[in-house]
Amino acid sequence: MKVLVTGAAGFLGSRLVEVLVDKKYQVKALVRQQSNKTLLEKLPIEIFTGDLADKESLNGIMEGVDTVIHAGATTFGTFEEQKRGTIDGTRYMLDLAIEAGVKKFIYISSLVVYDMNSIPKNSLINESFELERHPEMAGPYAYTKTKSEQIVQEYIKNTDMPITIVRPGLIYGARRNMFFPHLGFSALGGRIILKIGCEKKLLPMTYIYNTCEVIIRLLHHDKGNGRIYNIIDPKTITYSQYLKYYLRAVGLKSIVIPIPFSMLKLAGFVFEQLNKLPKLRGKFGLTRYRLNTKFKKVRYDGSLVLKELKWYPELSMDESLERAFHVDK
Amino acid sequence: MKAAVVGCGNISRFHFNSIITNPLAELTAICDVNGGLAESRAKQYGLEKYYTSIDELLKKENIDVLHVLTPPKYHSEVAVKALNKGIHVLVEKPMATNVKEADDMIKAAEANNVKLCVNHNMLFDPTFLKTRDIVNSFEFGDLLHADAYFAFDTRRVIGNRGLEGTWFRELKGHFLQDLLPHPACMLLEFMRDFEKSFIIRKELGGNDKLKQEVRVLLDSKKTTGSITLSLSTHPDIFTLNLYGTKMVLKIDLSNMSIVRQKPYNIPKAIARGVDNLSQSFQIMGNTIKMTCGIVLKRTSASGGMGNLINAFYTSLDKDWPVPVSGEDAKKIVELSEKIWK
Repeated sequence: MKVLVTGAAGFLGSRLVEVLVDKKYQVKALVRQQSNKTLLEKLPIEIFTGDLADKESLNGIMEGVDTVIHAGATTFGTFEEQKRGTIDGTRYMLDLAIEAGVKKFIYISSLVVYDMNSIPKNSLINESFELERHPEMAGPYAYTKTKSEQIVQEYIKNTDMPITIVRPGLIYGARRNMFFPHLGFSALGGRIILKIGCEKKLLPMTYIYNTCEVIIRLLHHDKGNGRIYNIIDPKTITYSQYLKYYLRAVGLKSIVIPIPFSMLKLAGFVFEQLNKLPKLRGKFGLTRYRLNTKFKKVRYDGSLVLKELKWYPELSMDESLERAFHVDK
Repeated sequence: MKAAVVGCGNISRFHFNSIITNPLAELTAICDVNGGLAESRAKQYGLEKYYTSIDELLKKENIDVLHVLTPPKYHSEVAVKALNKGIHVLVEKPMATNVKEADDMIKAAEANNVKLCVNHNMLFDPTFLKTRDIVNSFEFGDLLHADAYFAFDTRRVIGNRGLEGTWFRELKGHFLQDLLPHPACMLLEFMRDFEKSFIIRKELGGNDKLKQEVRVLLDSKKTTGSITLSLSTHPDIFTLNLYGTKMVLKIDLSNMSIVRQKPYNIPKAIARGVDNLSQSFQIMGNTIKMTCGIVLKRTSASGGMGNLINAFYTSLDKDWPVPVSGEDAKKIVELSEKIWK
């Protein structure tokens, strides 16, 4: 089976390619001209150079491809560039895949697509919860990911291509900064960390190898056609436990200052008022809406996909964290 | 979804209450071979007619879901009939009296593309749900051993109504065979890959099998488990002790109490006292919480039954996996068959 992986130079995409090769799949990897290809060039795969934002550059990409894992998104540059790469790019990939008669299309979405502002505190969020109703207020990443997922959902409804949407949680693993934005704000090179909100909030963590395993198993899971799955490991860790682990693992002796969520929301309110001033119109991103999206105390339910696939991570969380921080390359 | 109930014994009231309070379900028909019982239930829940034969019910009523609450030896026969008609089935525990019956049900559900769920209600018991959350936390570490001790005081439970006419007399393992799914389903939740079991069975006298003792040792890749079923231990207790790499949990399911024991970085002499005090405070806290819950009617005696039935209807509505699958329940039927050959 030949699998096309988009975003193959990214954190998830590059590991997906490696694991697929390991499992003896044929892989075609979409990367941009300027992407770092050092890791991919060492693997026995076909590299396709193109840009999700540029339809012309994608001509011929589906040649010989049976299945697609669309992990590509534009997370840098201006808002317009992000929209082109993430939203338009998703539409291009779907159209090209349909045209080529692809047998399975897995779209990598995100947990940011949930309508966090209407979801009550302490909810256990499963796949049936509503999509973000005001993506324009939720920041560029949430906006582009929500809009793209809406498009994918439309294609599920209106086309016959078998499509599965996955929403991975916070993916941890080597090759990335594991100080997630959801952990708070770090200042002075990590010497001071502002810890936001409830210490006991559970983080929706998923170890990159578990994420990859679930996605690859979904390639063969017909029941998953037209369905949406959260990907979150069954073992949970609280905000405060993870932060402690992180600081020890990277050898930081930071001063951690806890900030109550209500206080941060007050700051959000002030910024919202400043945003209303004609000279500053919309300059500050720190609005209460966006703070809710990032820091609200909720839990995510990742049990659906594990139950359906009848697969559970073999490594314990201690082992996975150890590998992510110290062993994996 | 139109729901029917077959078997109107003791357990049925929990099912009726869950059906009538669930917006996804609508109670449509009732069946029991005992016409008087069926009639009184039908009256109680505002149904005009009742059935005394499941065949007739299946023929005349157009239902989506059937709750099978008959004695276990009829589970498979009744469930398979319904499944073959494209009806989803929720069956009481024990799922079946032997593995073949369990297989028949699983195959019928698969062949007809309908759902089969087994009412292992302990998995949805609020105390167990909390326990599972703790075991699934980083703080707990990895589970090394799980020990379940289930002792039933037969004088209290059976004593009043006597043994006559009770269906569990017909089970090979008698009362204990009906009890086994409770501790077993909880342990298997933590030992999904369980492979081997070792069994000790003792008859401590009497012909009524009420002096039976059963010990089971379970072995999986990373975790071991032990189950005790006893009818002679007094008082009756339902406890679960879970030993992890970072914490030990002592759970009393009937008292709804969870006590955590954690290591202390202080001299042993002081730790002894601190640990005892910590455990006492936890028990006191749990007692206050439980009492308030019962007084304010937030906690009910049926444990997780309502939660499980609601989860079952949600799984039908959303086409999700059922809360307790036939395959999972079959593992317990296998164990049961091994204990009472």
